[in-house]
Amino acid sequence: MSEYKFEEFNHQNILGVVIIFAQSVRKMLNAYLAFFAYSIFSDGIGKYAWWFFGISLVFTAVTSVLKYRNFRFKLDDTQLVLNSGIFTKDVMNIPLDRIQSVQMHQNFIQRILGITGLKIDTAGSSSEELEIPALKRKKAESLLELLKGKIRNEDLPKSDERMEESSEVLKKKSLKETLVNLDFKAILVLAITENHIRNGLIAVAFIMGYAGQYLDYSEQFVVDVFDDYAPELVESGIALIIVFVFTFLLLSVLLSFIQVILKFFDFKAEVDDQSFYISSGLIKRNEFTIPLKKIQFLEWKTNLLRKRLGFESISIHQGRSVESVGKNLLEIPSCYSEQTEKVMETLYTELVDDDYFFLLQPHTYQRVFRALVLSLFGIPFFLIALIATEEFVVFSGLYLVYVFVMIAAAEKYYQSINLWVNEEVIIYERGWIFPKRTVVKLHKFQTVELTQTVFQAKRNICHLTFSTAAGGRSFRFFDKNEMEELRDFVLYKTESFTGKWM
Amino acid sequence: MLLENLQLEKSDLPLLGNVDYSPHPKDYRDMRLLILMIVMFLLSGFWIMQLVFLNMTAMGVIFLIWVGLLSLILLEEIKGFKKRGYALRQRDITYKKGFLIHSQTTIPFNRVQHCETTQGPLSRAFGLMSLKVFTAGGASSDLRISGLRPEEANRLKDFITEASSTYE
Repeated sequence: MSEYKFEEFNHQNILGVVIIFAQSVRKMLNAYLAFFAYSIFSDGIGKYAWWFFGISLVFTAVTSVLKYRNFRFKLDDTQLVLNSGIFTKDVMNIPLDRIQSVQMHQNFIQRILGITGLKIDTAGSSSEELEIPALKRKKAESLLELLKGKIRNEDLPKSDERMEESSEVLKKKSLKETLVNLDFKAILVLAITENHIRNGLIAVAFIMGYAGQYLDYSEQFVVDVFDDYAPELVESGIALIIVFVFTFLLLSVLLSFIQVILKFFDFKAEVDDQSFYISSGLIKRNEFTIPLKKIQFLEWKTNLLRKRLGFESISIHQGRSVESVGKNLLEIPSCYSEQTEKVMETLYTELVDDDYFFLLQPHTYQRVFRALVLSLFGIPFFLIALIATEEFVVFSGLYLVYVFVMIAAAEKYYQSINLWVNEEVIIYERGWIFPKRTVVKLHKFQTVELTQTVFQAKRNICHLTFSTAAGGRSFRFFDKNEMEELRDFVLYKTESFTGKWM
Repeated sequence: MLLENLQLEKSDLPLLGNVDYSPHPKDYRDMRLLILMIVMFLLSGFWIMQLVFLNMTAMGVIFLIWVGLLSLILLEEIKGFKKRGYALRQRDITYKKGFLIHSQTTIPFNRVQHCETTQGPLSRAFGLMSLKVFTAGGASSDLRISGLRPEEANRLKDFITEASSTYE
């Protein structure tokens, strides 16, 4: 086992040149495939394409050798170090306890050459680069052993903990409580109260994007038809608009129903003191287990209709890791107040109202800014309508009404914003037509950013952006002194937290 | 161990506002200005091309917009350079930057996944190096500090790697 010295810098197996070359050629082909195919078949540039191809191959061969030569790695007690780069020199240090998993990996070429790649997953954002592509099988095995050994050593107390956890889970299995169980009526209510217009617009955008490819063919057809029927079309213009709007609304509602039924049929959410268990779906049945510790933050969302009926949906944001992209956001679509209470009880210690460390409202400038942006946003539409119809007075009047409505809306929105912080969580509440409430545990934060423009400096206001492993949220237009205090508080909480956070 | 249960007064918090920031070497500003000049030079070809197709009034308007933008960028670069700097504390690193939009980004060491230093050809010519600090999740929460002296960048990298590996 100890025939290899990983404490010093190692090169890969010399056959690594071939592997790197093959990888680069494949990347190059991917990038230039269309170009090559085109130029080989069109006679004018055909021979230049071959030249270009040849030169690219030689260039790739040279860079492969350089890449091989400059790629070195070593492993010491605390970290794995990778050196790479031809023109840029990259040194990457990976602390061993940040490594999530190590895998051996062999593609076709690697198998022919009798060589193994080692992939290292760190849950970071650039994890695809963390690969040692060419090692002799024995060497790869011994490095893997060594890495696993070191990771496991660090992990020992954790795996003990996990054992305890799982035995506790066994004991408490009977305690698993049903949180939400949607029957068909509940699903119908859900479908009716969906945001139909948004669903419709998403569908239209999707269809437009898809149809865009065929537009060239259909354009001529549309133009022909339009030319033939132009007078009738203009005459029935208003009727057409009404029909169009009606069809759009009908289709949107239909779409909402289909979506909701497909997604949430026989929806079931259960909870115990370790995890959420969610299962749902009509055609494709999905089942998820979400350990409570992995949850980064929760967001309650609702709309005016649903608020009146007394329910909200909860989005569960989990930490992003490479293999579960897209699966990191789960939803409990319908939660009444007692279920919300149950979730809060499970996840957070008791929240006492007067226990709040901070209770903040944004600076009044927030509503001014919002009203201004919304008002400016309307200008192009009214301007187009004005120019098209030349009804100056009507549209100026309408615009004035629009501005007043926007000012009122901004005021309403401003009133709805609340930021509560206690010893454990931040609760950020905002929204009036679509109220939202984000709840984050203080120690989940990993980056805190305070932003201020020159114009805000005079009023002493700023934005504060928090990021967790599942994305972040911005608190906008708050008093700067208060935000600095909040930042220091959150940093203190995160930095003094010693447990697992994802 | 359970620090989090201590009752805390707002006045007891360790304040980030009081720390001293280390500035970049002047070379970094020169490098940024050089890059700006190269970009301007490349774009100027585009503007000269416009001269052939447009009349003088349109040209004048475009030129004015151009000058306005340029002076704004120069203002940002020159004023903003003094605003750049990083600060290390025992348990986190903060980087601040920007004149028109000023931001201070802080990453606690116990949330760092790994650290990397990189050096491109231009920064090598200026004797500078970049430090990247990676966190879990998206790239939006990562931190990049360009324009450090290589020894400083490597020292920072070692310090952060060391500090982050002492946590779980």
